[in-house]
Amino acid sequence: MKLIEQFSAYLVIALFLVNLHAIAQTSGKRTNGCLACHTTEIPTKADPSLKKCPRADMVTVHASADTGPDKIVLQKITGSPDLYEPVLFDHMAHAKMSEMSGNCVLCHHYNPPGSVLACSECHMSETSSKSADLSKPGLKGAYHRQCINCHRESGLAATQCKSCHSAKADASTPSRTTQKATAEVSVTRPTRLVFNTSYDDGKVVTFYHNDHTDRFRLACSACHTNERCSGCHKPAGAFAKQAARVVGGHDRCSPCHSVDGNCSRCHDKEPRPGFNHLRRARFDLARYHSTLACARCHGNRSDYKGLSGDCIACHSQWKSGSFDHRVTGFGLDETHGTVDCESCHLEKDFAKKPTCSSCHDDKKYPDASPGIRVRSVRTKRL
Amino acid sequence: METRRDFLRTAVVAAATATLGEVALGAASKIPSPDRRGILCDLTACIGCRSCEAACRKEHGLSSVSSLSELGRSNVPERRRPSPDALTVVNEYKHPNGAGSPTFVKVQCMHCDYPACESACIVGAISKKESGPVLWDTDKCIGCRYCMVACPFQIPSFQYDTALKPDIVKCDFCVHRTEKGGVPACVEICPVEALTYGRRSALIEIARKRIENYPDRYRDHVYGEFEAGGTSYLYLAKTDFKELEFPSLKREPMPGTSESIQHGIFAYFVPPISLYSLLGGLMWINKNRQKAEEETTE
Ligand code: SF4
Ligand code: SF4
Ligand code: SF4
Repeated sequence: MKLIEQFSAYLVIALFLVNLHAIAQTSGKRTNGCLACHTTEIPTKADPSLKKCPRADMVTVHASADTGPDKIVLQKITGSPDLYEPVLFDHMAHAKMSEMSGNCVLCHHYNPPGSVLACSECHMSETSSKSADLSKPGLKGAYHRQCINCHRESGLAATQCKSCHSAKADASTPSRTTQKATAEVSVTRPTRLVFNTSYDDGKVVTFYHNDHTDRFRLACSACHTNERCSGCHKPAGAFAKQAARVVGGHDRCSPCHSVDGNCSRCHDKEPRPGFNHLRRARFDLARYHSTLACARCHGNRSDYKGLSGDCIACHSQWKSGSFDHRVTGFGLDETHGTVDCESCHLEKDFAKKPTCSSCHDDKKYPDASPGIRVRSVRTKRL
Repeated sequence: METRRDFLRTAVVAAATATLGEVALGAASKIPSPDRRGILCDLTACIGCRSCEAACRKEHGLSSVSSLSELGRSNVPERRRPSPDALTVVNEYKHPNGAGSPTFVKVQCMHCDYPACESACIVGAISKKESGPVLWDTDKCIGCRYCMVACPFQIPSFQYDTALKPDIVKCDFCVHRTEKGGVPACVEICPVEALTYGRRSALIEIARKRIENYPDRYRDHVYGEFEAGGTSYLYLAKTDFKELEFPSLKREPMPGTSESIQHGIFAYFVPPISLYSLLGGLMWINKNRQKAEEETTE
């Protein structure tokens, strides 16, 4: 019995020592100073004044660009000699761009739950070589690393200090803190990309970037979600030099285009011409409807076949007789000018070929024509 | 401090009394201090701005060109070596496929843990300091240029314009700053903190961590951790170091080879004093030839 008592006493002491050792070890590992986690040097139990603490398993943030600040003046660093004015950082523009390249975490790589930390919360104003934590760049290094890489890849003359800073002594450089910051950034977009795929029956897929951006007016972030900045911000002509690569295969197109079934909708033997509404629907958008969103006429129909309403839904003043049919590129003759629209355009489907059979048994469009084609018509905009 | 003359005097005595040329093993037998400092140079972060070059020149009063804007970036694509008026230089290596960003490499003395230059130096003018730097003593140096030959990184350079007072020049790790608790001039100026000064062991830990955290960004190689027995300057890069013209070196310290040259010389019973007179003679001839060259070129 005595032996067991003695043994358990030893056990307790041993456990205590092991514990002590563990505590000593973990506290030894803490390389940050108190201020890394506390906001004051003397935290009390009542007010531990804890900072939101950057841990390894940080929460990924999905804040919207609008919840962040608009422009920030970076002025926490004063060097010696102090050569430069503070830098104006267009946070809003960068936050919006980040929607195309990995979101806020691209810069805000450590975030406690529920908030997004500013750079200076963790990066101290002195360089890492002078601080207790060698692994974490100081604020100046952190800023420069964050900015210069993308700016350099994008050919934005990043190694020229003055593209972001204005020199204190130099009156010729206007102060960047009042200037609009994003003026010099341009986006280079391709017009047509021809992809060579591995699909034998139709190797070629032709993609018209300008159709998607200008005509279908897709937001950049609809397709570009995880890109490098330099993918779009690059010197003009950069797209012509490189062959189009298929990245992500069908995944890029499938959110909008059905990819099962009819391969020939996209795959072909030769490059294809771009989207042409006149040829597809016999309705020329270029004249008056080029700036409308597809949905204005087609509604939310995913196939964009047929109209969601008729022309009169917008052009309420149009009646048979008051409509100058020449604006469509086809002038009606006198007899047909007064006929109801629906007599020829059955069910007001203007995409379909007009029919003659409501009145004529023996006539067929376009062999028999109710008028003549006209080239250009000057009418006042309706 | 021992001056060159003192050294020669002792050398004469030593030569007179020496039975067989005995040379101290030098640095190879010294164990470097675990607390020694180093500089981690992250080439994936370096933007090739040459600020470090400018700061180093200014710090050492080496050239009138001391500001970055005066230095410009025009000669970065050239392969340059450290020289008497630039203890460190930054070279540009184009991206292999031409389109990507280039890699910039800052070149200077690596401050080897077992410096080949130290053990090659026959007058003991070069020495590895406990805290990491490899320094040379102008007063002792006789300008024999053994260190230049021995150094696997071709670092020490000869100050030709002061031929009367031969001097070997190389990066001094900015000891005058670090002694007072500061950081080297190049480290302080670097705008992206591509350079980190600190305990070598801590820097290796950080380098390993970066490789582990960002395997796409870094090649799994800390150059200088083991090369030639280890160096104080450590490098991280994305590309193969061979492509950046870093010499491929074994883990063994270099002195083995250079010492064998020396031992080889002494093995032929060439007493040190005759060696010095030979070297001195050579230097004298050289100096005159150089003078003549200078005169003809002017
Ligand atoms: S790099 Fe060359 S000069 Fe520098 S310590 Fe090593 S051997 Fe000596
Ligand atoms: S450590 Fe000092 S001497 Fe060496 S390269 Fe840097 S600034 Fe020049
Ligand atoms: S100062 Fe820093 S970024 Fe600039 S060239 Fe030197 S190491 Fe590279």
